[in-house]
Amino acid sequence: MDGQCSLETQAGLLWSEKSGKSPIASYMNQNYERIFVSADLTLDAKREAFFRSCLECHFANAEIFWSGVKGKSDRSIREETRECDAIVVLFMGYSLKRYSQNLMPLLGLKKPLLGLNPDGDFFEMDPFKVHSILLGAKLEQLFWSGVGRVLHLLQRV
Amino acid sequence: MRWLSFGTFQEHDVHAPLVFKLNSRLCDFEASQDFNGLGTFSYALSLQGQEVDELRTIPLRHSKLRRILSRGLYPALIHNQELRNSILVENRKELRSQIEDFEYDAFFTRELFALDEETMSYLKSKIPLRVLWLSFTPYEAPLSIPDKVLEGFTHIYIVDSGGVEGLRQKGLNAFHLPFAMSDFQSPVQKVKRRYKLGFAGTIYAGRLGMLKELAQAGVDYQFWTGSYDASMEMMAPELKAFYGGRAFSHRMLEVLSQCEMIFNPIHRAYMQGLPDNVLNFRLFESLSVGSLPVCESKPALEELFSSQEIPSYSSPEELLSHIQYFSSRSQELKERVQEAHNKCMQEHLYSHRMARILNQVEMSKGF
Repeated sequence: MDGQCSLETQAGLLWSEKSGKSPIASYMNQNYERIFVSADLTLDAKREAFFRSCLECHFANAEIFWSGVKGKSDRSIREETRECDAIVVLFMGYSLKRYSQNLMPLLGLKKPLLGLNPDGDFFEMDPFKVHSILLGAKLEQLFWSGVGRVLHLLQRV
Repeated sequence: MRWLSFGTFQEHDVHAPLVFKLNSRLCDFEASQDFNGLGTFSYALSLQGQEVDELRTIPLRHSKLRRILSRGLYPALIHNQELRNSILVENRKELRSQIEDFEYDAFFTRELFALDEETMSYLKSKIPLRVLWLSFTPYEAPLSIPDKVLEGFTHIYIVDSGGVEGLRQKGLNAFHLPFAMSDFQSPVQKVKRRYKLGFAGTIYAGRLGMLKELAQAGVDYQFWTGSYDASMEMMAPELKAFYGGRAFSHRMLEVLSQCEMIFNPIHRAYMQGLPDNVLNFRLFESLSVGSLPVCESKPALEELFSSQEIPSYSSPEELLSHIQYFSSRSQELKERVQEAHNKCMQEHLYSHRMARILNQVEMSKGF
């Protein structure tokens, strides 16, 4: 996502508030000490507070580094995440392909990679699977864009 | 009056069994029985004694392979801006040709973004009445609104009553008009109810949480959507067992008809999470196939139906409580559906809505 916070997610926030449930996936390791949060999003105050509470609630004993990867070199990302036990990527929607730029630099870091979705639910991200989703989306985009180009040219002829 | 009802190529059209008139640009809406597309609006107008031509600028419309070929064309359009733009230009040319060839008293469309300033100005010079019925409220939805196009309509109808005043303040002749049930008979005949609960529609923020909650509560349900792709599966792998696949157009009515109850969160996607007060197509589609919609609570719902007719929820607990209640009361469920359906037949068909449009149009223009 290009740093834009979709207002669509307000509905998700509302639901989480209504349900009153703790947005915690119990199968994940809650004993991490340092968490790197990749938050290249423009968040309104309510949404940011919601994400922060999810993180603080789930990783109660961890230090949380609220940061991002946008515009950073691979080397500086590696440096920033060196001491962290896990990386959490924030999502404002349900489509990974929109977050390609945020995700790609994190896939080779060999750290547990988690996502936090707009409903406040954590999920595990297998880097290989994420890679294949992003690659598949790119190929699909290229293919249909190419088909579109051919049709456009045919139309002009 | 003679109406031109206009629509462009939409995702729905890829799946809809549309019939086009030979040697004409027009769609035969009566033969198409397009239950949840433009045809249902055209048909409703015609039921009010209007002469209606339905122009749908759909590529390949006379090809016998249209539905197959358009499955490839639609994603190409989505991914290629140039193609999209050139097809829009073609659409506008077709619209002009149709207007040049025939004389119309009134124009009806549901698509604000298909028109540009130039086409609107042409329409204004040729057709005295121009009616727009939108599924969102301009200036409230986070969309870039082509003001000059919007201003070219003599009557604007929106589904959210809260937005009318704002539009009027901008000098627009705006009215509230909620969705309704199609006058076409549902193409789905009586089928076996295989599921207690179902959901069919797009999954965006909030809805995934609800579906997960239902699964966690042990509710046996099935959902159909185009949204549950590899990304969403990664976010909610536990929902895979409940996923029934994709369902559009008549197939969507079929899957709705397989469920006794339909879980119905109400929100227009155009609003992107901003508050709204609307009804949705799914509510009426569910009733048309004899399934009980359990709806998200909205004042707009209460304006049309009592809680005795349509149950509503405003919390997950309330939703689960309704599901539990009706799970063991099949007869009561059937009676509720029948009551709500009867009410639709008497008051909430699109022909009723069109009667209101015609009334207002006639009052303002003296036709």
